[in-house]
Amino acid sequence: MRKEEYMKCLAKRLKKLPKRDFDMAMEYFEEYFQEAGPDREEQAILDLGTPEEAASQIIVDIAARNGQEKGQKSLQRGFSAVWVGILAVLAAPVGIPLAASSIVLAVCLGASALLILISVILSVICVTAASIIGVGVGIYGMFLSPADGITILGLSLMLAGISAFAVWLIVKLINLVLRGLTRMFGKIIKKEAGK
Amino acid sequence: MVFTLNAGMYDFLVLSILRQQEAYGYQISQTIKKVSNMKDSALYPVLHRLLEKELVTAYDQQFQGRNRKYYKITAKGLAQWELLKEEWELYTEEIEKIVNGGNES
Repeated sequence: MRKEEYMKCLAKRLKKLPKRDFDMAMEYFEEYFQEAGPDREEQAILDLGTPEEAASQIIVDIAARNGQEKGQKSLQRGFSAVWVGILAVLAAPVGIPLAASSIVLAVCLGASALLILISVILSVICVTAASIIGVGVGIYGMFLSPADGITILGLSLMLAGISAFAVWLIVKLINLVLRGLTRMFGKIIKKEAGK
Repeated sequence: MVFTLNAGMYDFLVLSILRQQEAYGYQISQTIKKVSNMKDSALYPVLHRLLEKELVTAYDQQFQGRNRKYYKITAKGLAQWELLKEEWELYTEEIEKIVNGGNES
């Protein structure tokens, strides 16, 4: 194997990591090869071990750290952390039954979170649409019958408020599920790695 | 090698090396190699972990037209090293006692 191959294989396995972690790891290995020098590429690859091994060590390390992290993350980062966790459980020397069941559990939780998300998004869209139409109808109605118009307008604004609150709530909820999953993977990996 | 090292040991060794002087990744690998048959790729997660815990910092320096990342121990890292050193001394003392024979009470 040549350096290019090694780096390509490593990059392929690490590409799911957040960009910062990916860049840092690739830089490190690039530097390692340069320090070893072009004449000692073969030896460097022997010393480094396989790129597969290197990649799983890096992923396991990051997943273990994600599991301990506190604080709110963006949804995108939350999903990425869960993904890294799944990769790590697959890469770590965890017993197959444990790995399989934790991944099935994660997929089920993920799927239900997604379904809930879709239904909530649909209802939020409906409520928002109703409130927009309601505002229009309310304003129009004020010219015909001020009392009815203002009532409709008020109700519509209330609906708009509820849908905004629902969006906020659902984002929180999904975040919670993602955090839980990330932590679960982190714990599994730590336990196994500590043995 | 007969004796294997665990993650805590690697942290201790890297901190010990950096306590003496700043060093770059490849250089640290070469030192660790003397006591462990760990693959060199395994040093990266160790350094990464120490960086995340702020026990070491890193800075880039140009060397012959390319980049070299130097690692440097922090005050927090030094404190951690002191702790690990104490642990290590207690541990080796006990090991010595066992290895060198049973006339201990």
